[in-house]
Amino acid sequence: MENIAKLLSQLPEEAKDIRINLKRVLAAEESLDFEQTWGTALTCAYFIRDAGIIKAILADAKAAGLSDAILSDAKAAACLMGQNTVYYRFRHLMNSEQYNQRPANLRMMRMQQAASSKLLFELFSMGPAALKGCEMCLKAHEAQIKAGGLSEDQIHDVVRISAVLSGLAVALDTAR
Amino acid sequence: MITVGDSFPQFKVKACNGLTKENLIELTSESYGGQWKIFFFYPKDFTFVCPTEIVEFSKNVEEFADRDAVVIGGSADNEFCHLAWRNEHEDLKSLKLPLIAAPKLARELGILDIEENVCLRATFIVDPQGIVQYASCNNLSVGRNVKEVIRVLDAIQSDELCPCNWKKGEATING
Repeated sequence: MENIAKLLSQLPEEAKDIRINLKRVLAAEESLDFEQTWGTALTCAYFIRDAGIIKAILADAKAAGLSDAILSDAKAAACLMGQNTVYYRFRHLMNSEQYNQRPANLRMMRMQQAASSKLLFELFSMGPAALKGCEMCLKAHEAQIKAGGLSEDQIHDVVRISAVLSGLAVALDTAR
Repeated sequence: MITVGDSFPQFKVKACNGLTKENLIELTSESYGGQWKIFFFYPKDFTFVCPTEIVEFSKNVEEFADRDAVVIGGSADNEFCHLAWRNEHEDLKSLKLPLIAAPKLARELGILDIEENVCLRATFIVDPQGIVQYASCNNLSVGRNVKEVIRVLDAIQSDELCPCNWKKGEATING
């Protein structure tokens, strides 16, 4: 976690909670294994779009030995969620048959071509769903992950990672 | 004619993939595994409308590649005829797709014109599992619009795969 440690050293005193939280959620001592942890963190970093966070997490994820397949899926999940959290949140919030019945007519082929596994891809998608904040999206992804056999503890920890990274992005800006 | 939902016939054909004899290759149903395949057939080598269409498909090979699809052209002519035509016609020299010699395949597809025994202008989109997802056929004199083939491929590939695409009446997302 060398690169993340360097990033955290830039945080102001006021963001101490964030600093401690990030170390804790990435330590992989929780319910998630290291692939689930780092894949989630990387997906969220891409989704939050802070160049410094992306760089640090990518470097440390590689150092931790994250496979190319997972690195690739994190990228793909972030990109597609960038699109889908806007589109489906629109549909969900409007709650109108007029829109629900229209085909999205958007490509999302990569979702069924996960390089690691479909379940991991789905787990990585949960972070962006939480970051974007749509009730129906969260429920839909959560149901899918549970159907795949993962636990509420694991889903909860994925959302904790996304929340802390969201806080980190704000904290870094306060220091700039 | 083979249509949507049918398996694309198994085949083993000779193809011309360049300008020399070394570029005469063999293609089978297993070539380009895992890819989507766009097959387009035209009546005859050395005719006028055909090169326009073929060149248009060739110009869009990258667009198809972006969509995990390969493009394969063909007629009932043999591979040496394809080779001679490619060398003779300026526009066909830089072609980026193979032309297959497919009289048997064309018969199995049901796309031979009864009178002239040449291929109608048929187009097929075949998914990676070998199932035909789109089939169309023009008469001998009507050319095709490659943009339309891309549009159809996009539509076929735009399945709403996100769990967010939950619709009323489906199993509930809460349970």
